[in-house]
Formats: sequence, C-alpha cells, structure tokens
Amino acid sequence: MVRARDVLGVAILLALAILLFGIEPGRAATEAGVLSPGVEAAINGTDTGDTMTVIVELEGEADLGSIEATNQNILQREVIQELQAETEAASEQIEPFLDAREATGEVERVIPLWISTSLAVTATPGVIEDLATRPGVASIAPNKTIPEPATLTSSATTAPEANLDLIRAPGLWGLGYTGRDTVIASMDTGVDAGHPDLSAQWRGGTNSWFDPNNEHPAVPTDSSGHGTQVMGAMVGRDAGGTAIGVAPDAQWISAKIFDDRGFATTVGIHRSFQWLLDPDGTPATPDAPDVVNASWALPDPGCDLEFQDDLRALLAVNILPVFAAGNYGPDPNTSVSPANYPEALAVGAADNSDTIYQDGSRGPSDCGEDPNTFPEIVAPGVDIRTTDLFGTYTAATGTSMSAPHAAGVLAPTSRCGPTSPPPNSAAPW
Amino acid sequence: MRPNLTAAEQRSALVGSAVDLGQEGPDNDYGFGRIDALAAYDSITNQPPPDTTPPSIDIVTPADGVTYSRGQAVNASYSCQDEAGGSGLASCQGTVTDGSAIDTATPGSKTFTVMATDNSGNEASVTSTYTVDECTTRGTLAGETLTGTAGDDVICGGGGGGDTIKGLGGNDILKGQGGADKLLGGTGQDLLDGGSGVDTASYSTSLTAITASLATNSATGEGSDAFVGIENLLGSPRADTLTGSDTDNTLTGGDGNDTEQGGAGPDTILGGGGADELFGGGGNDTVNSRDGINGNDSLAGGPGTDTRVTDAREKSIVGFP
Repeated sequence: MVRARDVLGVAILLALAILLFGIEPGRAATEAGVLSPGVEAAINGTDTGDTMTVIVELEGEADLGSIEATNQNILQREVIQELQAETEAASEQIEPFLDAREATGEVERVIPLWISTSLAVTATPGVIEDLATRPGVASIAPNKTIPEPATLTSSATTAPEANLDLIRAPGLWGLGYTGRDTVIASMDTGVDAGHPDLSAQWRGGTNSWFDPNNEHPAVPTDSSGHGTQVMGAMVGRDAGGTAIGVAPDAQWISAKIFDDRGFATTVGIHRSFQWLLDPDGTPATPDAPDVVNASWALPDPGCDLEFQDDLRALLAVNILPVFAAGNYGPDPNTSVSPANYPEALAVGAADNSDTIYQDGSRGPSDCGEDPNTFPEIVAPGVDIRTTDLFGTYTAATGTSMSAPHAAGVLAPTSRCGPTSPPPNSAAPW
Repeated sequence: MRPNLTAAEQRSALVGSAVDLGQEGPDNDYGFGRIDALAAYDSITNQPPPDTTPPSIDIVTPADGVTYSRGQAVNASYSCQDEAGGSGLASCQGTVTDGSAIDTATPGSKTFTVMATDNSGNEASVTSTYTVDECTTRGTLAGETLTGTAGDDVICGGGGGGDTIKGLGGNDILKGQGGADKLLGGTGQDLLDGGSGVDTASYSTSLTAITASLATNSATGEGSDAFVGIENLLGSPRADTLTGSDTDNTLTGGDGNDTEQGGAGPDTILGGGGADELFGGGGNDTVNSRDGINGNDSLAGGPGTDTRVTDAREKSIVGFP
C-alpha cells in the first residue's frame, strides 16, 4: 500500500518535472519515449516490492464519428460498446503478461479505462518498466494528484435570487421548464444528500453515486462543502426561503472525484467520466445524465490533454461537458485544462452587475485548437447564495459557481426543441 | 427520455443567446457574454420548423419543347429559389452553368436538367426537353429569302409562308417546309425538300442546261439533285429537259430551247423563250408557247381536253381541240 506521504511526494516530484522540463506528462511521453518523465520519477521513488498506479495508454482509438443511431438510447449503447470493444482489442497484446504477473502478485489491479482506450494498472516498478517495452502500449502516464478547488465563501448577503433573476431563470420556470425529468451530474467533492434543498432530487438507486476512492461507496457524502455548493446552484430548491437553483426539479447524480482529504487522481477522474457514460455498468440501459458539470481543473494554467478522449466520449452521446473556466486570472493566457479544450463549454464568472470576476481565468487559449477566445461564456459567480454542509447556506464565489448556472440552464433546454410540445403541469414532457 | 438537442446545438443555444458584455463581440474576459436562460430557450424554440420543401427551379432557356437550329448559339438561363422561411438555397446547377452555351452541336432530342438543393438537404430537379433540328439556317418569317454558303448547308424555311431558299455551292439540303417555296440548290448534290404547299425547284440561276424530272424526283446539269415534295420546275436559260409527274405540275422552261413533258395530271407547260418542244401528256393541260416569236415552238396536247396559248403561228400544234 502506498502511504499518504508517498502520494504527496509523488505529486511534488511531478510538479518538479513539469517545471524542469516544461512539458506535459502523458502526451509528451509519446515523443520522448513510452514512459513519461513523471512515471520515471515515480518509479525511482518507489521500492521494488511496492506497487504504484499508472495509466497505460493503448495503441488504438475508438471510431465514434461513424456511429449512426436513430435515437439517443441506441446512440449511448453503441458509443459505450464501441469504446469498450476498442479497449478490449487494444489490450489483447499485453493481457497474457498482465495475467501472469497478477498471478505472482506483481500486478495488484488492472482497471479498464475504456473511455480513453487505456488501462489503470497498479503494479511493481519492474512490471511498469517491462510494460513500456511491449507492443500495443502507446505511452505510460502517471496517476497524477489534483487538489480540489479552493472554496471562497463569505458572509456577504446579496439579494436572494439576484443571480437567477439576472439570467432570467424564473422566466424559464414560468414556461414549465424547471428541469423536471432531466438528470444533472456533478464531478466534485461529493454532495450532502441530506440537505433539505437537495435530498429529494437525488436519483437514488445504485447507479447515481460513484466514489472512485471508495471512501463512501453507497451514500452521497461531502466532507468539503464545494460539491454541495455547486449542486445547490444547479438544483437547489427554496427550503431556505429563497429559490437558489436554476433547475430545481432536475434530479442529480454525482461522482465524488475528490477524496475526503481533497485530492483527486487522474485514474479516478477517468473512471468517473466512464461511470457517467454508463452508471449502472449496463450499456443497454440509458442512465447517463443529460448534463455534466465539472467545477474543477488541473492544478496549473496551461494545456494538458489528459482528458480529451473522455470529453469526446461525452460529446458523442450528446452530453456537453460544462467546465468552470478556472480562477487563475486576471492575467491573459491563464486558461486551464480541461476547460480550455475545444470540447468543453468553459464558463467564466461575473458578478450580479455583470462585472467580470477579477480572479477568473482569461484567454486566449490554443489548447487543442487554433487560438480562440476564452472563456466561452460567463455566468454569475460572485457571492452566490447556495447550499452548504449541515443543511446551511452560504455565499460562494468563483468560476466553480458560474459553471453550474450554465449546466442548470442546459438541463431543461437540452430537452426542448422546435418540435417539443410545450410542457405543462399535467403532462410531464 | 434523452435530449432532443445535440451537444453542438446545446452549445450554440447558450453561446448564441448570451448577452454580449465587455468589448463588442467575443472577448477574452466575457467570451460571448453572460448566459440568458430565457433567450437560450427562445433561440431553440423559435427556430423555424424543419424545412422539408425542396427549392423551386425556373428554366427560361431552353424552354421545354422548343426547337433550335443546329449550331445555333443559345445560352442557358435559369434560376433556383428556396421557399420563403426555408433553410436557404445551397446549390443550383444546370447541365451547363447559367449563362453558358447549351448543346446545339448535333441534331436530335436533348435534355437540359437543373438540380437544386437547400441547406436542409431537400433536392429538386427540373428537366427541359428541346430539339436541335438539322437546319444550319432556319427562317423565322414568312416569305423571306434564305441564302446558304459555298459549303454544305441545311436551310429550313421555317416560319411558314413562301420562302426563297438558295443553297449556293456545296451539297445542300433545302427544306421549304410550309408555304409555296422556291428552292435553288445551286451547284453540288442537293436535296430539295419542298414540304407542304406547292413548291418549285428552280434552276433560274444555273449556268448549264438542266435535265429535271418530277417523275423520278431528280435533276442533273447543275450538279445532281434529288427532290422531295416538289410540284413545279423552273428551268435555266439553257436548253433544259423538264419532265412532270402524274400530279398537277407547272413546268416553266424559261429561255433556251427546252423540252417539256407533262405527266398524267392537269399540267401547265410554259415554254418561255427559245424554240421549245412542249408536251402536255395526260390530263387536261394548259400548254403555253407564247414567246413573241412565230413558228419556233412545237406543241402537243396529248390525251385529255387541253388548252393552248401560242404565238400567231407555231412550228407544230397537235392534240388540241
């Protein structure tokens, strides 16, 4: 087992590697060698008998572009099956080797990350080095550690609902679009499912909560508050006396990518994206959410395409990944990944008077695309009244709070179209 | 139950309806602006219904059913239009580009097709069928004179009415078509086709004597000609031999010592100048030898009740009442 101190140590080594070489772990590895510098550093820091976790990126890419489906349910199933089949085929070459080393105890665990044609492998340094020489392995990237976004809360009280009035959410409710029959997912620190403004909208069952860190496998939990604040802005109701959520009738599910100490890993995030596509592990049942909100970013501004395959898979099933633009402003060129991928909807923040939030990340960005403006859009993100731990309320600030406004608008609007019958109270649409 | 909108449509609904902030247009602080839930909804629901109507196509030239002369310069003229409120015209392409020359190089039935698509992928296609006739020159008026070239021509009278068509040199085809036409093949091997009406094969400009027969529908002397639908013959100023058919013919010898032989029909035989030998043949013919010179012509009426018009004295007159 890897002790906590060791994890931090790896993180520090990785940070040094990024500074020293000025390259991104993972993607750059394919040019510099199969083993990324981050992994080499981690190998050197791991005892030969200990195990470490890496992401083995396989050669091969799922062909999502050619999938044609007559409806959304079939599309979801076919995208998932194509991703899974591609990863299974791509891992055939190294499977006998992994099986043999699993028998000797040198391989502790192998988790398919079919969303990005990769495997999360927990094994000894010797096995990792051996893997790097094997055909079918494109690159080996470290399982990086990502700290949760800082939560800025204040006691400032703004007029209730000012943020919702500004974006004219009540007008949408008046038309019947309150998010009913839609599902919003968050990737965050968890959700306090006991909050009176949130408890009724949890979708429930065994396919509505995912904890890749396995600290709270069954019941939605949040030990930080960040995830509860974000969820409140999306689906919060009015138990506190004022309406706080953009889509108060939407159901929610959540992947708790950050553990109770506030750290996420790249493997855990890949697994969470994968869970979002197929929460019950059965491709034929269409239980993916309508909208995904991601109020998190990699630790430093810049471009790291680690999760690009994951976002592409979401887009392939018509889920627009909504990302907080990041809080690395006000300087130009402070965009951060994954928000700055072309696949993401990057949401910056402004206050309720439409004045830009000083610390929001600014563009332009050329991450995975030609230089483009960044962020893509802004939403209220300063002193947003929302749910907090223990059934309380707080005023939260940052692009983490603006992104859920966009996700909350998408939930009902993603369901309407020129041919949709207008919703009414008698007939759910 | 899943979204009706694709991810791209969701993105454009949010981004396209945002309230522009900061500097005009997208910028690196506010992007496309601040989100507006109601405007996003409006931008989706106010989209026009799907366009299922194909564009309309108007072909001005070539109009359906028209006939052009071979080699005639005709430029295509057509236009396409998507319906009001439609998704807009995406393409409009004819057999040739609008304003370019259409195919009139060879005779026959031709088609000209214009295809149009709109931005929703609806397709339309309209075809005009036109005919290129074999005429290299085509008349448009009644009673005009059409003149060919020294080469091979196909000249059509067109337009109705009696036309005068001159083939000049070359192996020509002269088509009188409607009306009482006068066809002058000129030199070369010509085909003289009178069409409807009472038409005349004329050798009035021939420099050589002619032997022409409406019984065999052929003539030699000024080249070698064939006749179709010719009722009358007009000889050259030389000593011609003109022969009628079994129908009603007018044979006109003109100057020169001509021999003219009517067929079974009621013919009119005109000797003209010179010492002519005129035979009415069967039928009630009119034989006219009057040329102001006494005693030079011979007339024979033949069977039937014939009429003669002569000078005061002729060389020989037989077979008249």
